[in-house]
Amino acid sequence: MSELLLQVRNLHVHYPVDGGVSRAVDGVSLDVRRGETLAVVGESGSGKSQTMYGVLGLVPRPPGRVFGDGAYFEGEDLLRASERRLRGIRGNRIAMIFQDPMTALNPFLTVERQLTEVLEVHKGLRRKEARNLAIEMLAKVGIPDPERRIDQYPHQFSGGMRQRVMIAMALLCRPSLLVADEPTTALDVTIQAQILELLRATRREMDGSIILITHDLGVVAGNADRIAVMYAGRVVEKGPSREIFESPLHPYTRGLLASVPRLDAEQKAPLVPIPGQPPDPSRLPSGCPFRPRCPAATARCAQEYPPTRSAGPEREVACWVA
Amino acid sequence: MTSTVPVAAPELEEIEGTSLWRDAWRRLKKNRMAVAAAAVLGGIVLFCVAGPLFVPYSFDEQNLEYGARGPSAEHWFGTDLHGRDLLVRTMYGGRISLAVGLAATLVSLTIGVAYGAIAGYFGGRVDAIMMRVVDVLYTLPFMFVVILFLVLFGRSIVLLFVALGAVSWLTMARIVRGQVLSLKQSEFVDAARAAGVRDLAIVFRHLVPNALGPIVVYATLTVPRVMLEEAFLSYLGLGVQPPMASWGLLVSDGANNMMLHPHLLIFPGLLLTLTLFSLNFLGDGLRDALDPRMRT
Amino acid sequence: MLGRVMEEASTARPLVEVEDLRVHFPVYRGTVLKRKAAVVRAVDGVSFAIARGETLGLVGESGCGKSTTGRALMRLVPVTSGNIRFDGEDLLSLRGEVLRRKRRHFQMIFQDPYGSLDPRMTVFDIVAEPLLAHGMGGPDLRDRVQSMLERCGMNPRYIRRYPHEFSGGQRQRVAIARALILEPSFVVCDEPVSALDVSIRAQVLNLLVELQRDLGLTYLFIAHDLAAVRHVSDRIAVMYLGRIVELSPAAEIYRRPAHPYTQALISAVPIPDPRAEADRQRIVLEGDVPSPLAPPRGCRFHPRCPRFASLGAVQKARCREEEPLLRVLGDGRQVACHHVD
Repeated sequence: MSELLLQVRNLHVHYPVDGGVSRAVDGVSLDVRRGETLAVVGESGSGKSQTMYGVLGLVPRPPGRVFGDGAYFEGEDLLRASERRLRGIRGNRIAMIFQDPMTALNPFLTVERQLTEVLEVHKGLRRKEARNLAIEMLAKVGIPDPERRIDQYPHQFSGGMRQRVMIAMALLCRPSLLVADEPTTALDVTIQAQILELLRATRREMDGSIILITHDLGVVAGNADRIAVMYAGRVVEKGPSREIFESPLHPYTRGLLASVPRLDAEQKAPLVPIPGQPPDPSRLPSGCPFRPRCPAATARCAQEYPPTRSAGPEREVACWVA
Repeated sequence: MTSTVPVAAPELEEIEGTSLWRDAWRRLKKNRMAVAAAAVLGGIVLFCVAGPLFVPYSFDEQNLEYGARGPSAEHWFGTDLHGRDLLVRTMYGGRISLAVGLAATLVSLTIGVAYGAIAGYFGGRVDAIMMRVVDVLYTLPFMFVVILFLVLFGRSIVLLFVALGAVSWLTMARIVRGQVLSLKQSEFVDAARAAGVRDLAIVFRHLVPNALGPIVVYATLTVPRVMLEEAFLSYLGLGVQPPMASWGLLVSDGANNMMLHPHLLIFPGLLLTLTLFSLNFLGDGLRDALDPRMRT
Repeated sequence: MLGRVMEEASTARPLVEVEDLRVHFPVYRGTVLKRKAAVVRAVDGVSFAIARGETLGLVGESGCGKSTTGRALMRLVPVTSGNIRFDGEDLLSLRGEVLRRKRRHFQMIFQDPYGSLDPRMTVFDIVAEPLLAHGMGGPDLRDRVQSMLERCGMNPRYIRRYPHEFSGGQRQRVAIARALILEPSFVVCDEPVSALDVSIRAQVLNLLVELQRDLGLTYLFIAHDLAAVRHVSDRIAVMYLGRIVELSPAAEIYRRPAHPYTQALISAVPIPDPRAEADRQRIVLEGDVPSPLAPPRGCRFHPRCPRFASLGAVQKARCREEEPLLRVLGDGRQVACHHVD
């Protein structure tokens, strides 16, 4: 199989809370291959964003604590890299786009200033060259009239256009890994479709990998090669996208798929909800954290966390029962 | 929905929630400066209210021959130029100063909060008219108003309360109005309106309680400000008149005789400063405790 | 005998009738001398009716006016013009105390269950408040609050707790209990599950469906999530820039969307199934939704319409000039497009 671009091994991100530790990420291992899109799926608080924050050194320390067996990106362990080194990688070799582009863009600077800054810092380009490259990139992500719009401020762009600016900014240095954290959650469906289309086109062209972090199974279905499902700070199931949707193994994955209304489903077919609530990461239940909500739980589930085991080629699951 | 489902009795054991107030209280108790300030303040109030019971002098008992002397076993704080016991005068002065501060704060709490909340909630023309009134009152020079009052109605302690109260609620009204303007966009206000809750009930049940944080903080800061204003008025001879005393008056007397009899300035000045410091620390502590952004 | 006839007549009549509803918000400029600079046409000529016991879904993208429509029905925003009849009664003519008393028959569930619950009140106070506001307290107040909370899936032992002590799903259950405690006949659900976690949404959707069945409620279900709307609705109205462009039975809208905008919207909704996704035809719309400050002349959708490009010059001119009205197709679907047969 193709070479691994990012290899995360047993990553933990912990935060101290009143009288305990919040285990936002609790032993996550992930592989990203060159040229693929890996979707990390989970609900709020599942640790899907925190995992990438941990890898990229974006967890505020203190109070946060990040440790693990390693996060190798192109052979280099990011967990042990200096802050200076990480700054050189972020925005350059690994770029991020966020849910709300308004908070990620500086409202007081023109789009030009923000785009050229990236190039000046990472590539040492001169302002003029950087500007031309930036205009080219804006055109590529589908912003009409880029020569004029580059001199505008973020608030003069609509939500969808702002997300395009973010994507242009992310792609400027030709990163080999693009981390998209809920890139379409704040957008309307027709705009979401535009952005997803753009991300697909981007991946084809940039010859790199994408990590798509999302809670929306629909977004995953059409856009990911492989999926990692997270729950309570751990990866509970991993595998090729089609297989996960067609034969989910973990009860949580199954529950999620059964509980989401589908546009193409039989109408008013009752949804089967997952009972209860996701656990508080500072007060995880003993054993498997999904146990209190799990229809298939046994006595063993309460005692020990189920180890991740192989379940066929390219598939892994962390469950005693599945 | 019409018939009530009887609920089994043992299930009825209710679980007590923690209100945001209790949370704030818990945080306040953790703030050492605020707790210390509250303790000091309590001590000062006790000192002024109950103190005179234990001192064998009255505040206006003169002994001109004795005159001003420094602290001694009979007179712990010494005596003033008229031979009056400074300890008991400081206690009485404290009563007046604290009462003035408290009264003005009460006025600002009742008038200011209601006025600001109503203007903010109803908005539009009501708001425009109500707030222009506040603006006009603001522009009147405070001293001018007080002097006008004193000339019109003669000098009295009641008037002092009225004059200080009349200006103290203006800022409160503005603060509350600002809070209410942003709070009334909340969905819980829409929900209450949709449920058919009356406007005034929305103002006083939903908006004011949610604005109480800034209100309480501003109120604690009003007390020291008003006490200073009273001191200023007394210094100008427009406030409390001898033989009555207030801390402001005592300090101003003391300042006039600072070179010969420093104790006349030191004791009342120390108490006034201590009170102001404590109130400010308590106000800061309350602000930190009530600030929802501090919630964990 | 006569009473029975009357009763039948009243059940045949829709519970909610909306006619040419317009809600325009003035935009002011200037700090000292305010003057009206422009008008946001949030809702601009919307008509529909909701039968008793029916759920009408209202979908559209942000800024299309769906929430404002719901708020106008609740009399929470000033209505510019049009008619709203509730149970045959002219709702817009009601004022002051009469309106306040009428409010107990129509209630609303809001999107954000954190913002819609007063953080300083206990669950009991929140749910009891509507009853008290209508003088319906009585000695059994406590029992009624508890049984309503139980009915909404909340443990009644928690009534002394505060909203911040609950998760989003539980808070939304409290908000539902508050909306239903007055026994309303009509409930506007404004994005009731959008703010909730994925695994919790189905719980709340199921609860809403169950309560409707048990209590005979009529819903206006507003959401941007077409899949969720289709799941609960009998009919669906699709809004674009302040207007309804299509109103069809829920089953039809996915199978045979008539309006080009509906078609684009449906093709844009991702389906959680890679095989289904791979087989779908995607219509990706160009550009953004225009500003409701200055909606395009003629058909509001024509600048983005995928069908527009393939039309002849005469037809194009019609789209540019003439605003299409909602008209009934043979099979019960209503659509506002000049070029659908």
